[in-house]
Amino acid sequence: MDLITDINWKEHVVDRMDTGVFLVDRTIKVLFWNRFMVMHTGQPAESVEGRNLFELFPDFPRRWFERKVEGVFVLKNQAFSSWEQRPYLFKFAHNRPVTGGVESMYQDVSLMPVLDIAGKAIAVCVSIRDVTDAAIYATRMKETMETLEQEKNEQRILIKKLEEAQSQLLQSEKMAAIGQLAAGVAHEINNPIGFIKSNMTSLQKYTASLVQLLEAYIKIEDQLDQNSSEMQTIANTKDQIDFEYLVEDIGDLMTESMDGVNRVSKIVKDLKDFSHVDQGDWKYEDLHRCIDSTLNVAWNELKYKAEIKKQYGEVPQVFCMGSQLNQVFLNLLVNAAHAIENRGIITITTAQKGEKVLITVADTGSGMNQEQLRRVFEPFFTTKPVGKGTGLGMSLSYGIIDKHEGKIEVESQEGEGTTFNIWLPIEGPATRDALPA
Amino acid sequence: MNPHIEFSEDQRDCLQEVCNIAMGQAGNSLARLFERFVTLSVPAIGFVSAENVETELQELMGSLMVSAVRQAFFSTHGKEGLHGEAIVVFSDTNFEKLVQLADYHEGPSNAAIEQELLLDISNVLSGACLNGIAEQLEEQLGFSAPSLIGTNIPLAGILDHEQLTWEQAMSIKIGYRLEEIEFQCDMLLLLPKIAVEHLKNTLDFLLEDD
Ligand SMILES: Nc1ncnc2c1ncn2[C@@H]1O[C@H](COP(=O)(O)OP(=O)(O)OP(=O)(O)O)[C@@H](O)[C@H]1O
Ligand SMILES: [Mg+2]
Repeated sequence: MDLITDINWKEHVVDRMDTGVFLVDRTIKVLFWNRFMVMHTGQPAESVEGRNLFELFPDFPRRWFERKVEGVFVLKNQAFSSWEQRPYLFKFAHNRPVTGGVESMYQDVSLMPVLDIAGKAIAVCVSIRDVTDAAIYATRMKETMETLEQEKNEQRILIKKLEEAQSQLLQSEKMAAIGQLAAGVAHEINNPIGFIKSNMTSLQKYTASLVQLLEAYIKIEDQLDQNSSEMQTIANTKDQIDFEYLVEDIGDLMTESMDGVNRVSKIVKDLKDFSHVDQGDWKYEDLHRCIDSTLNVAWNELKYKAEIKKQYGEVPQVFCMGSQLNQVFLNLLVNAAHAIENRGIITITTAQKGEKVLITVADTGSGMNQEQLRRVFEPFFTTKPVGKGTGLGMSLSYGIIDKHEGKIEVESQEGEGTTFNIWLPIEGPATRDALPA
Repeated sequence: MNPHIEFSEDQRDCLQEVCNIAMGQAGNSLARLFERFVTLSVPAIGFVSAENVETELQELMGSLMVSAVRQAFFSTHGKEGLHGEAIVVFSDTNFEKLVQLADYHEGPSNAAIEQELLLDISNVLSGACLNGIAEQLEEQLGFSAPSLIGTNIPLAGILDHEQLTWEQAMSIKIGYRLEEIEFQCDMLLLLPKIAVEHLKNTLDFLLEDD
């Protein structure tokens, strides 16, 4: 028992607690200042005790602290302050002079009323706890949670992108499947159409020869006996088969059939091109020369329809298959001309964009609606009358640009026109070393 | 009425009286803090079961989006004494006006000032009210620092019934409303069963005294 009464509570217990403890009266005059406070403020108790806290620490949140203390005096109720809302009461150096990581010591503060025997509040005891470690931990945790949340969001976006990519993949798989089908059909048709064409050519010649021979015979009809039964038979047969018309029509039929066969073989050729876009020579080409030669080829289709505006930029040579790109340009130009009803403008622009070249073909034609815009690269999609379009031009072009690891984009405004953008990597496909020489 | 905890009529009346007095003290404290008149609701004593805590809270509070602060209290009598948690739920509160009124213009950020104000109000209310109750029961209480459960969260989120360690608790609900500005809060005192048993004994003791 003596031991307990002998203890100097103030100096040996309260003074040495590893918690900041100080007492103030109602006017915020400091009554007591323990060692923790001395060590962290550098102010010895003798120079603090008896003086107003705000004189000593001008940066102190004065009004806030006054209200807090007043509340404790009036209500005789403990009050608190947490690092989460108010990181510190005093700006103390943190307890990590070596390991660092924080600006200053995080503090939890409580204010307790000190009552006299009559139960009247005579002072407020303020205790300050160093919660830096817990605060760092909690802050990191919160940051981690936020990062996780953010990553989750990013993943959500990624998943959406993946879904889009997948549907694009499905689309291109569909095109590849159609391409294969087309290749098969083209191959099957190619042989018969080949001999039909050559036979037709022979037939055309043979019929012409036969007609020639017949005409020679007809010339000597006069010299025959007009009343002979043979002559009668000839006259009847001529009447029966409508000889005059037959001779006239046979030539037309042969020409029309030849046209048809030519058209079929063109389609077959397109189909073959469509499915064999990997043939051709890879080398550095001057794109302007490619475009110009294509313009020459297409000149007949273009000259009555459009004024051609060339806006060529400074463009280096591009590693590509020139003949294939020519086909793309041809398709674009012909489509543009077809889209122009009376007379319009086709603008061809080239420019270097970093590692790529951008070629733009813009027309002032009819433009496309949403549906057409969506399907423009689809094989066999055409809005042109039978015989005029096969709907392979753009899908073929798409395949060619794809082989170049480039990109083809389309923008269109119904009634205003259409713009195709082609991006080509200057150095060719990344896999160019594996390309057939 | 309840299979677990039951109060006799006398016990209930007595507790109601104790709460009425304490609540008045708390209201008085709040009025002094804000220098405004505070309207109080009659304390409602009831029970909540952990299982249905979410729906029961909803019935008790009505409002859906709330801010809430919790604070533990314990007795010098330890486990045998009055102990539990006070949860103060704020709803429909115009914080801007409240911050102005309370003159809380020193703080690191607006959000921090608001939060600090919520913590302070909760602390004042639960401190005054519980000290008032404890005084009548001749006990002394200590308090943990109040901590924020959340601001503007769904009411159902303030207590996660999967984390509750008790099956049933007594609840004392007291509503405070500040005249002139939009401010409304409900204090919920939740006492675990063991504290309720002790409370019943104390109430019996008080009743004998009368
Ligand atoms: N510049 C353009 N302006 C408007 N519509 C266009 C343009 N280019 C393409 N289209 C639309 O896209 C369709 C498909 O074009 P694509 O070149 O693939 O086939 P096509 O021109 O119809 O036939 P072909 O196989 O003979 O080229 C066209 O029928 C047309 O409706
Ligand atoms: Mg075309």
